[in-house]
Amino acid sequence: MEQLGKRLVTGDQPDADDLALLHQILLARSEQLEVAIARVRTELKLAPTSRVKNTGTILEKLRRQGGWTLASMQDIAGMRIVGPFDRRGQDEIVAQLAGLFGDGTSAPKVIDRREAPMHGYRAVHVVVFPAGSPIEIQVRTARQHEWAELFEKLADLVGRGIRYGEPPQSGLVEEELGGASAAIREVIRLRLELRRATVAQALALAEWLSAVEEGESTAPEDPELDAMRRSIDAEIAAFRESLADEL
Amino acid sequence: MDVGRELETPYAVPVAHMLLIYDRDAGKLVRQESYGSSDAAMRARFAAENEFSGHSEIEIVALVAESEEAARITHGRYFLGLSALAERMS
Repeated sequence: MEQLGKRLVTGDQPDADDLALLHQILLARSEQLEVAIARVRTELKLAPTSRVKNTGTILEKLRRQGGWTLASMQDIAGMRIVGPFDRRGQDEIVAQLAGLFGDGTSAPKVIDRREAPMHGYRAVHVVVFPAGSPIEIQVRTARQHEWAELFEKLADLVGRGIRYGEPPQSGLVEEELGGASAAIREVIRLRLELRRATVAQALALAEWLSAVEEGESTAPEDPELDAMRRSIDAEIAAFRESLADEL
Repeated sequence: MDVGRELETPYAVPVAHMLLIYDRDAGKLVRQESYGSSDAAMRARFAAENEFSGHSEIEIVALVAESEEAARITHGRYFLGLSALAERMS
């Protein structure tokens, strides 16, 4: 696997035979994933959606990491569970998943992105090893999920790098601007400003949502919670209204 | 459309095997196909990856979900625009 990973990222295009080998590995991972999903459905009565990472993204990740991480890449095969549960319910599902796959070749690994959010992204990931290879299970509350999807979509439109803390992009490269007039450059500058403001607002929203979720889980009887919920509803409404048709 | 070879499914309930071809730059789904098994969807995915080779803005994903409706909830980004996703927030 390690040698294959290195060969796949040598040169501009991977060799056809190596690509075919990678596809065989992905088909095998897909079969393992199906078996794992069936266990989650049958034994935990949950309804995950699953996917095997696409080839282009695997190659991008291999290139970033020097090609040696193919065997250990945790999210080649993954499933996502989203539900109407709060953080306590999320903890229960995580514990159930860890118990269900406790018989794997390695102990399940829990990555709590509520404690260590990644640029606003919060969820709990459970990496399980039912047949030797890792399967990443994302467990998200409705609020965490809705925010994550919104931010991913925003990233599609203003630059994928915002997921890693990078600033949004204008969508144009300097060569394309060529001899653009001062007026055109000003429009582009304003568009970038708008994108920065939208991203900042979305990140602030993540903190609000997290605070409400934490309150609901740790102090559900707190009379302040209703006021917090009203505030977050107002923040979400303001965000919706501020969204421009063209970012 | 190739629905693939018949496979014994481990599922007790019907599932949807979908191939989605999504344009990140446009934020829109450009193709959606259904298959009879994960294996068939994965093989169609490899063919689509070859078809769109060199187009880094194109994301090709084979999803397995309880239904298309379920996939729209768990992977709404492929199906909905930014405003619709913002509307969905509670």
